Amino acid sequence: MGTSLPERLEAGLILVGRILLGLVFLSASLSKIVDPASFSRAIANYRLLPPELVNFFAVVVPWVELLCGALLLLGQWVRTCSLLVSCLLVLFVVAVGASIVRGLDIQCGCFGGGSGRQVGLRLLAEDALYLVLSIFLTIRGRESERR
Amino acid sequence: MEKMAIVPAEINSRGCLPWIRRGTLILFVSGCLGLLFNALSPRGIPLMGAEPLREHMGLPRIGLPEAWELYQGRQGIFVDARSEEEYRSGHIPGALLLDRERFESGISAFQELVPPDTLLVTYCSGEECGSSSEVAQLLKGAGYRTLRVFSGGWEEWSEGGFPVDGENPQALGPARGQGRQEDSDASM
Repeated sequence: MGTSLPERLEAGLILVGRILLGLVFLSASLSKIVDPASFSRAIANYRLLPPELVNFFAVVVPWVELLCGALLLLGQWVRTCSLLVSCLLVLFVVAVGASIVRGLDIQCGCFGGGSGRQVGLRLLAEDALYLVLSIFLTIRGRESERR
Repeated sequence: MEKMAIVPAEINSRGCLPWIRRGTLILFVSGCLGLLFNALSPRGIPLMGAEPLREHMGLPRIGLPEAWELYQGRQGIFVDARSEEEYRSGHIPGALLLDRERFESGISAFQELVPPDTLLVTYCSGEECGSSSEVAQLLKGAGYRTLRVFSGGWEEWSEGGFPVDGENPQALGPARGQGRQEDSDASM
């Protein structure tokens, strides 16, 4: 067990990263689970998915977020969950980026339908930051993190 | 950035199988929980049918010429589904403000003013905003039967130089051709 400074820094970043991502995804999932209709409308507004898939997405995706968020907080299956979270974040970044390029005037729906945040560059930057963090966790994290 | 290259190498190594198994398991459990919860929840939504969605999409949409025709013929009432701020800044003359967020508090006053057989034309900021369809959907639920969604919305209307009302209608749209500023209060 080496405990050089870079290693400790990395371990700290992994800890902070997984707790941050865990909390973000956990809290984001709950309001969507409670009100799937709003989330479904939010997804539909992005105009990326075929209409038949929108509701299925709205029903399942929040639960992926919930499980991954919880597991990240618990420090179990960290890399698997980070990989799944990375995939989700890639989708979000693409969706938000495409909306900005197309000039869509829509709400993000990130934390459920009523969160009222407008899609824009700030949101894109936030998602990109989470994505970098989750990729870092996927690569450098350990599957079972013990403090 | 070169760290990215590590991922495929690790996935290809013998560590690959547990990852796939766990990832699939998480997705599978999420799917089951999602479907189960949705089936049991009173707020559940139809899955594949996407019913509210199809209705939502299936509302009759009209373009600028039809909207202008209805406006000139005073055949209906325009409903502005944008925010109060945007509405105050500029709107189609005679349009009533009824946005999604305050729909529930505003609908009873609206119903007092507008009988249920009135033709309603909803609009929001432009082609790509969803609130005009959403408000139309809510109005349908409130008993209004003849609804149109003016898909070009405020952007198309104001840029086309059609009549506008409000404190500062030019602030939101460039209002290119200003030819038609007659006839500033219709419908109401």
